[in-house]
Amino acid sequence: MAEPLLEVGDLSVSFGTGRTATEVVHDVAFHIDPGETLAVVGESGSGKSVSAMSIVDLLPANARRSGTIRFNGEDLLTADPARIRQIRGAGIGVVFQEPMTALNPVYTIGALLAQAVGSHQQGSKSGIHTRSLDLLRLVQMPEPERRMDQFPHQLSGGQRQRAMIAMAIASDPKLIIADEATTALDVTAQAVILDLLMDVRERLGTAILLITHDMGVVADVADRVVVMNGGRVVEEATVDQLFSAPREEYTQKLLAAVPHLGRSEVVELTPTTPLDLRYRTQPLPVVDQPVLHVDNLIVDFPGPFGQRPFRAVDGVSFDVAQGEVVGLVGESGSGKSTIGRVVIGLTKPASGTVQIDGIDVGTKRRLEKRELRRRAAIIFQDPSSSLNPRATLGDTISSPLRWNGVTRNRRELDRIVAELLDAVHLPKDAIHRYPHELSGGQRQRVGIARAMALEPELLIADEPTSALDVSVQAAVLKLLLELQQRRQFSCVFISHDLSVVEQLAQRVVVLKDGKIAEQGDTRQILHHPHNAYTRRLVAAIPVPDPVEQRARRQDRQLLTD
Amino acid sequence: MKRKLQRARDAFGPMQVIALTFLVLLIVLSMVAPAILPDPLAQDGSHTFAPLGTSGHILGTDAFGRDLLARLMAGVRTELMVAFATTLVALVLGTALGIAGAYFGSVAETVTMRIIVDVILAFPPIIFALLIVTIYGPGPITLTATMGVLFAMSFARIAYGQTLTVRRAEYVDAAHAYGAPTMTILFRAVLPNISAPLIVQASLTMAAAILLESGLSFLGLGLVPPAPSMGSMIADGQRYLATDPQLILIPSVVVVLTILSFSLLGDGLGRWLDPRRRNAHG
Repeated sequence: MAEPLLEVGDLSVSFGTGRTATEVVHDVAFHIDPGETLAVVGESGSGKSVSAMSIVDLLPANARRSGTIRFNGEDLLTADPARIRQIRGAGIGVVFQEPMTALNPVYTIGALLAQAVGSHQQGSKSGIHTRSLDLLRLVQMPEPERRMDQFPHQLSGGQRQRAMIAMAIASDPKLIIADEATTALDVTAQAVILDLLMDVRERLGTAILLITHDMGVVADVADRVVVMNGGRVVEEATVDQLFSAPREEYTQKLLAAVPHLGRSEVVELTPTTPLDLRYRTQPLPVVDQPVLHVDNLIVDFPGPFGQRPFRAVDGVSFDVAQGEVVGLVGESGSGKSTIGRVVIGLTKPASGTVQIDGIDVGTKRRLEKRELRRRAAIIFQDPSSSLNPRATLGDTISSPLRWNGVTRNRRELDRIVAELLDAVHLPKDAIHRYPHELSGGQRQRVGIARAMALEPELLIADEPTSALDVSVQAAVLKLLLELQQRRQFSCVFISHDLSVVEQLAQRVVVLKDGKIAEQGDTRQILHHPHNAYTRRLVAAIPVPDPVEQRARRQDRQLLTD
Repeated sequence: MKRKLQRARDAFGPMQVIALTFLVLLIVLSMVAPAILPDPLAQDGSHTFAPLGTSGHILGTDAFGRDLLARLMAGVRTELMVAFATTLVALVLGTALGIAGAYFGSVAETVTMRIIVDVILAFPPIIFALLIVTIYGPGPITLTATMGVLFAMSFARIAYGQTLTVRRAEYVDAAHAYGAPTMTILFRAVLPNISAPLIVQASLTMAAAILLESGLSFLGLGLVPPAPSMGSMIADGQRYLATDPQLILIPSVVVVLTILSFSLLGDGLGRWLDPRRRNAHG
């Protein structure tokens, strides 16, 4: 058996010193063979990134490492900093998660590449230039000559990540460490970058260490998988083994939580009583019209002085019926969140009609405004920023009641908050706590409780699970479904993730550049999309099953060729 | 609770402890001084230029035979009160300007940040103070108002910058979406979340106010003689620098130590209230 390219043994990493030192990685061991793709997968806080970054000594200054890290027969843990720097460029290339912050914004792509090329090989200026251009061509950068003179901010996210990969492979490394390299990208851009990494591996024989939380990505490209949790290796297996017969309980749970496009089962809900907070004096009149009516909506954002405004939403029309869940799907910049903000009154449209139960959301009349707030509520994407850090959870959850003239009576508010906390499965004593004392998933439950406080007819859920780990995401989605069943509200579920939308929505609206690409029944959109963009979007989603994903990968290549 | 204590201990080093002790002592001493020390304005022609350690006059007397310690304490008292009032005026005025400018934007921003803040900052502070004193005459009220307006500008800038960030936070959007009145958003969502750097600035402003007050009094633009103040004591003392250096040295040292203490305290507060540290220690 050949010598592994990289061998990590008994790696422990701790931060801080003395009394306050905390060990975050415990006795981690794995290896990578030449030309192999190893995926290290885990949820946030699993220690996957820290383990990977300790290989190239890119940890904060207060980190302490112990164990062994052997790369190409050389011990990296004891090597001096100058040698590590050499290896970092020549032996191991690193691709980071956020290409915008990882690329120095004051240099052109050409200058950045020249630095990467020049630091590892001597050569004339023109030689370096030619090599840089070759690298851009190798990573299939469109219009490589023009890109050389452009700055990072002038490139799209996918193009920036291509430039990062070009820099990483500048000196023919034997190993590329890709730390969540596709997490910040849209699903179609992600598919292209993964293809590119596989292409580089094929052509240069480079091994790839892929750090990711996405089981779909793992199934798509990995040969072998290391599953981490709480700073320890839980399980190591080949990709087929892992997905077909996971040994460990944690892996099984993790895989079960991952949404699988086209295979979502009906989530089993325990039958519950309708949620009734018993403060509404009279029931809302039943009206024979859609709860939400959007007609020819146009939203402009002002451009720089003298330039034309940016049209974020361009002529969008759709309806949401009583009790219906509609998925609003699109990539970043498609205008999906803007539509949500218009419905809730946070953004003013340029033209078009948006009505909730027949009331125009742009109304100036106070009573109608209050009525709108009672009928429509919103859950935000980032639970850590949507709760006021200086307000107790009780104050946050009860705020809609206080601000909309329901009641200001302390005891009555406490009773309703307790009931809401119970409805979102949080302990009653959370009422006196502050957001920073909760986990991400718990915070999002608070956001949901606040949204439920006014017993809305319509809920806008703006990517409510995209900032959460998969296992937490599954629980929050289940909670949303459960509440929807208890309250029978209508819901606009905004997401970039079709496999999540599939679990909830009866109907899907696919947006592309502010326009509707296609809308219709969820099953029809997912299995028989008519529109070319929808077809590409669906094909780009990696499913957490290596066998199925290989077939999908071939189908997708046919689609793009 | 234990963590909070640990965090305070990390932020406040020995220098901060010394500074805080000094300030507390100074404040207590200056408050009880009228009860135990002679009248700071009482002249005594027979006891002029008494040296240090004279019985009844621990720090000696000045050219008019007035007790130096009593004058020092009275000076400290007015000085601290003027500095405190100044800081309060600056904090309230500046924060209001900054929040209004950042939160409402467009016209409000032009009026607050451009027309008011930038124009006042364009004046050198001493020239600005000269102008006001020439118009309204010297005295503690003029002094407090002038310095308050001057120092408000840095609070305005800080509040403005912080509010720009906080305004875009989703919890402010959420408050809007759930129907919070504007004042509720400003006082419950914005203000608590921008307060940390403002509190630090308040401590530094105390130091700067004492410095500017001493400077203005030295020039005769601050507190009116014979009312004692550090600045005017230093100004009086310089005439006798060769023969009785304690007359200028003692008030100078007190001014320097007071300013240093407030600055050190500001550094400690800054570390204590830094949200990044908060995360590190939960």
